[in-house]
Amino acid sequence: MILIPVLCLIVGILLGTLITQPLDAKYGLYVAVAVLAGIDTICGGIRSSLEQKFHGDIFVSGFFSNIVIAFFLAWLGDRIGINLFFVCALIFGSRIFTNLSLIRRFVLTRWQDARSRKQQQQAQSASTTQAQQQA
Amino acid sequence: MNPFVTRLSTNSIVLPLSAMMIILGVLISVAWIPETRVDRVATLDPDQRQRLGSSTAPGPQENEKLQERLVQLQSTVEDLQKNKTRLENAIAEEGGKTKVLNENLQDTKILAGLTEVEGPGVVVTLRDISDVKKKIDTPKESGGFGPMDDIIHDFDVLRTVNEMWNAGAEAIAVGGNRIVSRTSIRCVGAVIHVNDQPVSSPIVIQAIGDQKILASAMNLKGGVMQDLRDLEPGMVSVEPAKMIKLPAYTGPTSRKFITLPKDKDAK
Repeated sequence: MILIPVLCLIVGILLGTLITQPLDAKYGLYVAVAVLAGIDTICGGIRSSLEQKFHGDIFVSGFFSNIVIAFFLAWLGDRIGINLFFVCALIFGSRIFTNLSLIRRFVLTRWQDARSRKQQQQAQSASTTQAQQQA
Repeated sequence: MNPFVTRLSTNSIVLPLSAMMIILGVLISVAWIPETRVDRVATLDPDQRQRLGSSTAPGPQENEKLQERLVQLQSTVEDLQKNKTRLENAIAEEGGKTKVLNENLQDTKILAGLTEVEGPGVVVTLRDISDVKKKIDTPKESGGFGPMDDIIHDFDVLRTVNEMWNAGAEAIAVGGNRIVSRTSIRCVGAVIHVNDQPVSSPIVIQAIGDQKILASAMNLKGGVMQDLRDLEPGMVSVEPAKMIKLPAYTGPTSRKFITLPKDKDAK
């Protein structure tokens, strides 16, 4: 199940390499910010699914709007002479960090919970067998 | 209470996540900057880039062949130009009027650098610092401020040639390439090209003109040679020569765009 999105990412990259026309250097920057936004949204989606708050519609709309906003902001920044590119990079970068750390906490806690539960179960079963043996 | 928190959901993440991942992948590979693109190739035209990538670009062998062919053709051009001069002379012998015409023509050809010429002058030799050091065999010392200072550049040659014209040189050749009105001296990679012919250290610049004036122009304090001499005196040598023979210009002489203006007032 986890592998399907990863495979899709690889498929997407391969699809992208089929585009032979190299991107104009100035638009490359905007697309880079859009990529940052996309990574952020995907991290946020994974996080919300771990929190049991995932909604497909919010995720998809957030993905596209974030990408478009990031692209537009970077473009606008170049037009009006303020480097809004860095604003996007900073915000999305910090959000990626936050999301990833939250994901890490969730996964770690879940794993630790599972482990301690197992140990408890083992201890329980061991005590029950002991009790049975004593009986 | 935050309304979003209450919307607990068990929606599957896999499908939308996968779809978005595809789009993200495409975006990433579009935004990806390959190393070659930030580099030199970035400055190339799309056309040039295409040629770089295509397998039909001439390999080293083909280059060598073309180089040979170029030398052959240049000698042919030289022969033909000599022949032309001879024929023009022959025509001139027929009558006085044509003789005057021909003299005029020969003068023009000399000025244009289309004939071999000889005369007294100076020979300036510019050497890369590595050549000098090898020759003198001195221990390496920090003569320059880096590798950029250690080699002869296209602008060194350009300035020398410029100074020579200024000192009254009548004809100049760099490494056997005659300097004419259509000459280019420029740097291609690490090699200096004169008339699109590669020239490397030691670079011999021959000039026909007044020996004393030319030599003193080359040896001017603070002149064009001063920078090189400050780095390493052996990089420059200026020698007067009693007789120098300069080859004719063998580069392209075709013209596509220029025509003589039709001057109505001159009638």
